[in-house]
Amino acid sequence: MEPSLLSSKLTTSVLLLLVAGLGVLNWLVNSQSKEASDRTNWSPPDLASRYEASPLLFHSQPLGAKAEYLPRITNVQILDWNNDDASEILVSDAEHNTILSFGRDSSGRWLETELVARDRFSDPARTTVVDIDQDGDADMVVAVLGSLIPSDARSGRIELLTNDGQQHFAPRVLLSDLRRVADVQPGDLDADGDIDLVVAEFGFDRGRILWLENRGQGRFRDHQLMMVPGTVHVPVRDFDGDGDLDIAALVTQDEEEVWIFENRGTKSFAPVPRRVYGTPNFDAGGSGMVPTDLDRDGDTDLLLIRGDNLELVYHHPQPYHGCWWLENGGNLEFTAHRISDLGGTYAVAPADLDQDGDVDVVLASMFNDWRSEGSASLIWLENDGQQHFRAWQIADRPSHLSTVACGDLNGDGRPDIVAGAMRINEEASRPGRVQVWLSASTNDDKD
Amino acid sequence: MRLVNAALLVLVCLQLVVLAQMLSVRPPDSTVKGNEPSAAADADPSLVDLAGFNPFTQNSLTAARQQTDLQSAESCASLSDVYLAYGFYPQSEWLMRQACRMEASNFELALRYGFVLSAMGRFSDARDAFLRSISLTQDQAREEAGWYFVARDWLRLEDVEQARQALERCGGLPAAELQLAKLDLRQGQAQRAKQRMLDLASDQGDAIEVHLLRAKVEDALGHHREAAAFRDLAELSTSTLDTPFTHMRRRFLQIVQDHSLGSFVQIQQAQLKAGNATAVVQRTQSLIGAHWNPQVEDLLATADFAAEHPQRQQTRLRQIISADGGSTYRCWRLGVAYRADGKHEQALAALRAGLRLDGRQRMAECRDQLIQLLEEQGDLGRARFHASRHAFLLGQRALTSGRVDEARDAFQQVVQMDESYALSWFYLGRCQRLLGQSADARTALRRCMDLEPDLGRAHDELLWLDN
Repeated sequence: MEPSLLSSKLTTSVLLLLVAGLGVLNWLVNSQSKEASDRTNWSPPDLASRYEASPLLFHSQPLGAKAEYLPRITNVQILDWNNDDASEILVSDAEHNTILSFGRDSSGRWLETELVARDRFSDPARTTVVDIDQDGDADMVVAVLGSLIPSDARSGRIELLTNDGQQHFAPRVLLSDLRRVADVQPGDLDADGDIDLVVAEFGFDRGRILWLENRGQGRFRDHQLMMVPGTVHVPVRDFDGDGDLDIAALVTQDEEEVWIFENRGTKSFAPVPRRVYGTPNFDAGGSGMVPTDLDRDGDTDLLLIRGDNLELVYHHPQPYHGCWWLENGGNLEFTAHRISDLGGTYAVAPADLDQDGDVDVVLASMFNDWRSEGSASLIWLENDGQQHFRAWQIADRPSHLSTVACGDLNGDGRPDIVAGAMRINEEASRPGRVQVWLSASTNDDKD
Repeated sequence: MRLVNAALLVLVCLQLVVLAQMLSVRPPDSTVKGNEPSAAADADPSLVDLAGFNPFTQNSLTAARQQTDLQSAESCASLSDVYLAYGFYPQSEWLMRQACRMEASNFELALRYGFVLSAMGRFSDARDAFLRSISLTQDQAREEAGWYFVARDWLRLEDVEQARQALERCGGLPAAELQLAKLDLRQGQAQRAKQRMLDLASDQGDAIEVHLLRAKVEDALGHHREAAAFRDLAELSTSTLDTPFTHMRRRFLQIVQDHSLGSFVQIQQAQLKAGNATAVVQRTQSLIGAHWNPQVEDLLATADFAAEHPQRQQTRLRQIISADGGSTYRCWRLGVAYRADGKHEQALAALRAGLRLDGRQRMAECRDQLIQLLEEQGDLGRARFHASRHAFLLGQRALTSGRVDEARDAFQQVVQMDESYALSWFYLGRCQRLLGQSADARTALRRCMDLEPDLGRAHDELLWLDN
């Protein structure tokens, strides 16, 4: 072999070794460098729900005292319960275990009244105003959880607050020995002229849906409609348009279904359950259901929201959270349309916010990504009249809103908004308890 | 050959240039920044903003970060778990990704990475991670867990067919079979659902959700009496189905518990029992400072009592109720404090308030205190009334734990003490029916209906017996 050829081959071998060695070295350095660069240039991915600022303006203000520890407002409503021709805000407060009413005096100042002594019951979930004794004034029925913490204990009950006509309420237990009660709704189900009640006994692993037959003189007999845990809301309406009242039930926990108990119109109420909606997403986190005629076609639709997310202690908004319109197509056939994707949606209220004659929708979030700046806590969905919706952000604080309602609070003919906050964990970002957003006519009124 | 060598030489030069560039841009290592909220914290995914947490949790989470060197997969993964438990999802995801990078063939890490992604709603990425975890194991149970999570995410995406396929690969895992039976029932396949439930019954058949689903299946098949029997079983069961998700969930609940103020309070309570009240107060005040928390106030109230400051203890307990609302537990605590201080009327009022709230936690203790007080005051009639309600509570507890014999005896005792208590007659009748003592059950239920004709449940029980 020629020496020059030998030397050339040797050079080639050395070069090949160098190429390979440097290649490996490059790969090693590159992978380490990539990891470090990943870390240095890292910024948290943004998975929060946020939207364009609302073109409708609101003046926002807190109501009542701040929570001394964790606010636990479970329900707010706007209605004129005392017939004084002005709307009040009715608040169920599980922090102090009472029912509050906020009204405005002649100077426009908000006044807070406790309608029942504190700690008469534990963790009210919702208060329903109804003239149960038909004496011409507003009584109240309180769904009592007994515990916000999930449990199968028989800590729930139904309290009746009877109005003496002077807006003073005498409380009494209507039904006890129940698991956690999430909702009670009234209606004359058996068409005998008095008010019966429907009960969502949420429980935890076990629960029931009941109706209570009014047997006169303040006596009610319980009838079980279904044994199922996780019933959140039980609105009573004529869903099939046959002239009598039916019951809808949002069942969450392991099922994530909507049932309608059809009233067959017989004197003895014998409801027939029909599942009108069900998702195979058993983790959907159904958090509420409100009846409304969204498309103004004369029948009752349902607004269904998803966003309950307490499986892990600290939540994360999910892509399947938001609001669904269950369009009533007649004959108890409902078609589901998704109309919003707000993460952690926990409350919904329909109202014609922009006064254009159609029904818009307000949504509140309890489980958005609150660590992400600007994440929405309150939005409204503008209806274009054809049930196509555009989301507008009203507020990013207070966070953790568990309940929302709409109504005209200041007598200007336009819907205002009230929401309440509920916190399970201590983290103290964007605090608040009860907050109102009054519609503002000009930019000057904007908060 | 020279041409080849020249080309190789060029390649070597190029690689050297690339190497030099990479070495010149390597960033410095980041350092621990403590628990102050900091805008810069966002630049380092291993750091989180702890503002808003109580001081104990802040310190505990900071310590968890400081004790982690991020040099091993396990250290990254354990910090990832802590961050996920406390809701720092992006940081948790980053850390678990590093762990998986360090130990690319580790099944457990891949599965946990999938869980983080799934919890964030990143289902497609989560699926990749779960499928990777499945590919890394030969162990059947591990594979089943991986497929279960894949299926769960398909269900969350509402893709029933993909979910079914994944569930079918879970090898008969009870949690998967239950989901399949639910899907069968939804699709009108009640008979197929029933077959699955029969197979399931041999494994985790006593779980509440299994009984409830079986009842629905039997109803769908028109077997209403069988359905009712399964609802009875659901009422008597104490167990729920164990799933790979609940297994994972328990891990995170435990982490939250470990770093929570509650764990600090628990340790200090043990110190109080050991007689170290002064040290407990000093430690608590130096750690918590001005941060107000009802659990800490409750702890300090116990320390007040130990230090023989009953007035201070009562004031503190009243403040807890005033600031954060009453509960059976809190009223019981106040009642006991009043009683120890000889304030019997206030104690009675506090204990009665506790019973009215009926939170169940400490109900028995609250009632027990009340009975003792009433007996001390010679009010034996009221003491007897509360003793009957105490026995009733014990009966209910026995019944919901499936101990029907024990429950029946307790309810029998209740009606002997207070024969006008309709609800106890109802439960006595229910227990007797469940034990097959139909004649006795009828008698008890009729007695109940006489006392309380509007108790619909009693009416339903009688109907069951008569049909």
